[in-house]
Amino acid sequence: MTTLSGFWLFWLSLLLASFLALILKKKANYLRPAGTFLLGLSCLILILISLSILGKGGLPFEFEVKVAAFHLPFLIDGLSALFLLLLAILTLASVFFSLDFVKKYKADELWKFYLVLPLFIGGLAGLLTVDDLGPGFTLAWQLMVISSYLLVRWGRPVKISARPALVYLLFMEAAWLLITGSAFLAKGYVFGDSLGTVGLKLAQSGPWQAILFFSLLFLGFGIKTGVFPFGQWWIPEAYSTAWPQVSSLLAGILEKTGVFGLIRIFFFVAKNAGAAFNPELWGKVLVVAGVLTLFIGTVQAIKQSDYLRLLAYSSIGQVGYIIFALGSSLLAWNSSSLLAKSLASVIFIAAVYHSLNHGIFKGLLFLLGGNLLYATGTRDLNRLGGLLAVMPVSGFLAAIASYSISGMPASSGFVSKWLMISSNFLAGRNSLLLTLSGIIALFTAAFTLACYVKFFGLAFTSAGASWKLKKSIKEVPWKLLASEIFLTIICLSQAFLPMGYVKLINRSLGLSSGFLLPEAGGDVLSGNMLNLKIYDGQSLLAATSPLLMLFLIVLLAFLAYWFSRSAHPAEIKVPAWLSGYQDLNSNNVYADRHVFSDLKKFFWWTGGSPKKVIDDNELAVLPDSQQKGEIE
Amino acid sequence: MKVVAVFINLIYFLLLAPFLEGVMRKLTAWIQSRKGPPLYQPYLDLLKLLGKENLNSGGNWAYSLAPVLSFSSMLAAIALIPLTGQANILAHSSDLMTLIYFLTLSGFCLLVGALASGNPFAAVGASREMMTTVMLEPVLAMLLILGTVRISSFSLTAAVSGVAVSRGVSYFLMLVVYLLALQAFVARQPFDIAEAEVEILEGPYMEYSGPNYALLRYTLNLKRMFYAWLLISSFLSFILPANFFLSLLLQTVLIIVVFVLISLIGATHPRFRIDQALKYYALLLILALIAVGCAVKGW
Repeated sequence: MTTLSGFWLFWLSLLLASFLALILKKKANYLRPAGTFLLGLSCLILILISLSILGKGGLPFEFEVKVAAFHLPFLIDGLSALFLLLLAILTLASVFFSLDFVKKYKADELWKFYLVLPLFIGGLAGLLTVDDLGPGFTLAWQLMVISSYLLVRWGRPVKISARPALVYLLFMEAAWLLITGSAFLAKGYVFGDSLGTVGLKLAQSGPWQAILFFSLLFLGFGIKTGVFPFGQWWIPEAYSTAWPQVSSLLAGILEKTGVFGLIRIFFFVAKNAGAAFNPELWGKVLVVAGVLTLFIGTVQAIKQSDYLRLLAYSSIGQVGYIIFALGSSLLAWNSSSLLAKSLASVIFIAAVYHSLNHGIFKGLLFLLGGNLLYATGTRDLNRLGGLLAVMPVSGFLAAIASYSISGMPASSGFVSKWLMISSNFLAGRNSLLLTLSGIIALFTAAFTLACYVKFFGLAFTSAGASWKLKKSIKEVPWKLLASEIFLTIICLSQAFLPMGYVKLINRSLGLSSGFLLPEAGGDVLSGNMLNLKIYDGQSLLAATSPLLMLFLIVLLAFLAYWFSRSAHPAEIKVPAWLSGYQDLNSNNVYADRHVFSDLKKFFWWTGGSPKKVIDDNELAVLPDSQQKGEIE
Repeated sequence: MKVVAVFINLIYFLLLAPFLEGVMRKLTAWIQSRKGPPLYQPYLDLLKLLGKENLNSGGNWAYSLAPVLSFSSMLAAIALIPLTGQANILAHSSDLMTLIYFLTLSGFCLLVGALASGNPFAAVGASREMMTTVMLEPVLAMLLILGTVRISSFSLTAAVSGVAVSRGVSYFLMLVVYLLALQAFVARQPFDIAEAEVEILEGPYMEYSGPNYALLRYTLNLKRMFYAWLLISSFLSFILPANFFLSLLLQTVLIIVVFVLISLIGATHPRFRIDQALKYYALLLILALIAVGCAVKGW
């Protein structure tokens, strides 16, 4: 199978899936497996395409498609292949998850889901493969925007979802205007030029046009990725409104296509633009924007009671890390120090690594949010608790995902943050901006931890479920769990095979022509399959080894266990002391609104205060007037 | 030798940590005109706790696993440190971020355990402990980054010894910040907000008893000793002799001195409320940021 035929086959099976939804409107029992099969098939084709490009003897793949009067240039190079791989994996998990999850939907919701989802996937894949800022980009972008608008709109009852969906649509259209409009600033630009040509033409344009060009693109893709303050305007509402399996894709890959766009602009087009591109200026802009985004997004996440909103705000925070790293990489590349120059590519690898990591664990967390919603019907952390006893597998997976995103030792989040932060400090030791932003990034990691201690602690441990959610709660069906286990395994591989992923990213960069930074840092970053080390000539500057860390903790844990159980104590189950009450009740429960209350007050100035959480089943009960007051 | 150094780290801390608690208790008692327990009392307490039954109020695996992991990650952090300024075998695959995250992991496990116990007071304590971690962990990180900025290496040995390489504005500012933060690092009055015996009955530790509690107590002792050790070996690294045993001896004496200081402040100060403490920590954060900024400028 050639790449081109694979590409068409991918589109064919997507369109077929969409078409089937139209035919099998009323026959949900046929539609679910058929839709899942076709979507799964297209994902597998996508994986094959990406692997054939990234694998041995792979080459970037370029072709043109003629539509009416337009030539649409397509380019699947190493970087696109990497992001396509992420897209395919996340979609695979999300689609298999939906197979049972959508059983709870009404029939008219179900066929709509299978109608639009393939178009959404197609739009995302299009964005990752088109190579222009003109007609091809417009087609892919509009496909992505309109389909995801519908998915957000249908995620919840219209009273709640109408506004977030509209806001989402408006922001995305504004971003589209900014992005397509920017290219006209290049001298002699013809609508439909490929990105490389745009860069070359930009080099001929005046300095102000160049600055405006990059500003518009930064704004456009910034809106898409959720840079502060744009992210706050649409991300929390959209992600918490869409179905969880859709949010998993929104946070996992839709955001990353924005990152992909930023990389294409600031690391590929910038190279062709030559002197018209000012790395010092744009490095600083990206670092400052990234640091603001990561800090404010994460602090706002802590305040949320709706766990889907919590995950959404935390996505803003995590994307901040990626943007920060991209800026830091530009600044390091531009600095005079030789070590910093070679560290620039390490920081860039960290940014891509973190994108992949975040895609996987945030996708996983949203699916787990889906589990909670499926089992309990509530999205309010105030009402959850103690679910570990009834949903042990979900709880275990949530523990791993929370652990990973908090960046604790021997997790995927740790590896990418380690790469990012250690090389940032080493490269920026003479730069006040880089050092201070590195500290803020490190500081914010503690907030992320607080956020997920809260999420895991209040949903799965602590007390509560037995008394507030009277209806019996069961573990979710195995298909939901299986897709999550699939993502968990990938998440763990990202933690324990760091060099494997670094090599993969390196390879993908090697397969992308026109990359700004010199050949990715083989000389400073080294290691075997188990560890990563940063060397300056002979001296070891930084090192990490997730497996060794895990080994150390487990070994010492056995020691601790042996020590503490050396007198063979009896294990006795006792009830918890409930402040003198017989049962848990509203007087002695420590609910979500109390957790970190002083910290939340202390950071009031970051905004993003939570709204009252309304569950779908409550919506029917509440009188109209009350609803309005609370939703607005 | 490099492998033995890891074991020396562990044994040194495991043996000395309870003794330091004894020092603290004795001094506090003297200040309060009591006789106080003998210095070896904490060892006896640990032994006694090991023999008691293990009560489980949470009824889930998170509750029983938390103390074990909290203890082991604290030990893992201790295994990494350059005890007398010498790197050990683990230095080839760890750096200062590993240390910071092991310390955080230890606190994190305690929190999960506290939340898993199902006790509302434990949850109050856990929430306070987490707020403290969020605000204080960066101060620790910034101390080590000060060393990184000076020496341009992320390795723990360089970061710890780098702090006192040149003693300019940044050195003294960071020293002031560290001393001001010390009571909070070791969770003694006026910053024992998360435990607050008389207010929320030891918060996170409340439901733990027997061997599990012994592990958590031991972890707390190790943590306190670690912060005292870090003060000595980073800020005073220039007075430590090159000879291993002399250095260890001097270090031990200085650590005891630090604990005397901690006990004196602890016994004579009332507890802050958490909102007051947060403002205090924010001030420390800003001062520490300025210190690192000065270090970047070479002051």
